[in-house]
Amino acid sequence: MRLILAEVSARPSRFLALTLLVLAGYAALIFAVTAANIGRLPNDVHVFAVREGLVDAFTLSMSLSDRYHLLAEQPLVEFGYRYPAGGAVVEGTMEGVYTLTLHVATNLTLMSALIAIYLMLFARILRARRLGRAAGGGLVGLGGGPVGVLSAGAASMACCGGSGASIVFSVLGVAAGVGRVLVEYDQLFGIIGLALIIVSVWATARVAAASSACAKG
Amino acid sequence: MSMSHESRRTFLKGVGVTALAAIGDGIGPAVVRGQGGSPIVIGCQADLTGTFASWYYWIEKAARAAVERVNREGGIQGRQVKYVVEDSESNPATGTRKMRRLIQREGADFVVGSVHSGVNLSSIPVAKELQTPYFCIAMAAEITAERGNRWTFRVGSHVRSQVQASYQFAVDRIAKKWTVVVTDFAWGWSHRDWFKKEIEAHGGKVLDAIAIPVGTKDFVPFLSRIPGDTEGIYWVMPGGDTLGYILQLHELGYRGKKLSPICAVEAIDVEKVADQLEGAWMIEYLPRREKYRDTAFQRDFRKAVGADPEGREIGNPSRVIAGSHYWAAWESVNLIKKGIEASKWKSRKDHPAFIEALEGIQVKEGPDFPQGDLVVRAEDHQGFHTHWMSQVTKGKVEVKFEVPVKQVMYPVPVDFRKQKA
Repeated sequence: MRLILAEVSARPSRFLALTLLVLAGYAALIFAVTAANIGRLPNDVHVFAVREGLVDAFTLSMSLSDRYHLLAEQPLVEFGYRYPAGGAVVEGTMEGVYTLTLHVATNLTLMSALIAIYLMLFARILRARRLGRAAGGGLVGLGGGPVGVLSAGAASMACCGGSGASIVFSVLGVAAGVGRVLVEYDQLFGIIGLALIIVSVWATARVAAASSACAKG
Repeated sequence: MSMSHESRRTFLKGVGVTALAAIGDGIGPAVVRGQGGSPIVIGCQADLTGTFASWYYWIEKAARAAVERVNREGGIQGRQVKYVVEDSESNPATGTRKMRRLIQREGADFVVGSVHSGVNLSSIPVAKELQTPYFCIAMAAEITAERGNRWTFRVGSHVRSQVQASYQFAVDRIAKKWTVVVTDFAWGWSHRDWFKKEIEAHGGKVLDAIAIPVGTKDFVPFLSRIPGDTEGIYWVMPGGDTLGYILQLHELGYRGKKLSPICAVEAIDVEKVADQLEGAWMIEYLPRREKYRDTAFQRDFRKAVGADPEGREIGNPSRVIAGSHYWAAWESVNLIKKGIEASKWKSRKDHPAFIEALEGIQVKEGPDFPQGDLVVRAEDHQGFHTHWMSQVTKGKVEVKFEVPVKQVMYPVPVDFRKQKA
């Protein structure tokens, strides 16, 4: 933990840049899947009344669990394709809508930050250029990392674009049911993804610490 | 200076009136509220933006027009109706929040709901929690079954009604061997399951059930699975997906029989895909074209909402009505009026009596109920009404015959009367 904090505080702008870069990667993936889903570029964006939603979540009378659920599911922005007037599809009909909620945005940001930390620690290992006695941990850190990223990606895709995942899997020849499974168990996949990336960060931090010690030695 | 007797009386009277006025905000309105001149508040949980905006455009117009008409005719029991609208943004979380706003902030005594099943289903527990009758417009079967409660009502058709209205004609007159093609989500599965069950129980056979992911553009891999001995396709698909499906089905050379609920083409201008839909059968819950329900009530209703006889917006013919859905909002408002009158409702404490008054209510076709005679079943609060079997001929949806109310009724799935109101 100390090493992670030290790394981030030593290079805060790099941490921020990496986080934003990973976040942009996720955004691009979601956009690409949505566009593939629609078969064309989205042409309609709707920004929700987020401030009003947050104020209501705290000021309207409701149970604690309802309040949590309302906050988590607060939509932030959505985009999709809106049919124009005059075609065979009725004017204003929307298709392929993707909605970003507060919990998904938080999840994506957290994942992005963790991946950024992982990458920074990995870079630190490379700078030290030695694995030494921490070879086993290194394998965990180096091997687990990509798995963590993939799991996090799968989980994020599941909770962000399950139907889009179905399309992608169909195109790849995998049963569309796989996408449905991702959607149904998106919270589980999210937890697994988060756990894997945390383990990867921890393992990589240990390797980085060992590498730094070896380098100094 | 001492007061005369008369002066003292006048003074005391003035003090009394002032005192009553001073405590008016606390006690007075609580006494006056719900009686006499204070308005009855009807809230509308409207999908004004987002996915369902094109449908709710018509539904909100119908609800608003119904309230305006009620007020023009003197209100309900001498009280005007205050109509308040909140935008659900076609989103379940927002819709639930707006349901609370309507009731807790706007003081809605009754709420006409969204057409989005997800919004309805997540708002149903709120209706019970806040003890406010909730009139759903969406079509998920669970709304008036396992996910509903004594505070929820539904005037209009839904999956089970639609299958009930059509299966006998389907197996007797359209085809014996069916393939079901649906979009791979709850609405599609519901139709698949109920249609298969009824067809196979009454002499037909479902050869295959194909579920296609939402948003699919290339239907060929799925449509090529349709068994060669299929005589009829029962299909259920939403919005723009329908267009791709019917175009590609036609391109593949399928010219056999087709049947769907009208919802599948509610977002489609049928005239623009006349060739592809030629001969297709549809179950309607109110004919899109006025000529098939040409009554003074229908004409007045359409005029009030701004729909022409062919089911297009007056002044904007590119906009097609959500013909099988919008009438439910008009009738929901009038059902509220009926329930208030029948139960002598004065305030929210009379909600139990209001609910009891609606359980089993039967209303006749008229200006309030232009769709036709309506029965609200006591047990599950589901409305039953006439349906129509129609067929597309040269780009027009032509009604072939009516399906009477009794034929649409299915066995009771739940009894809400066991719950306390």
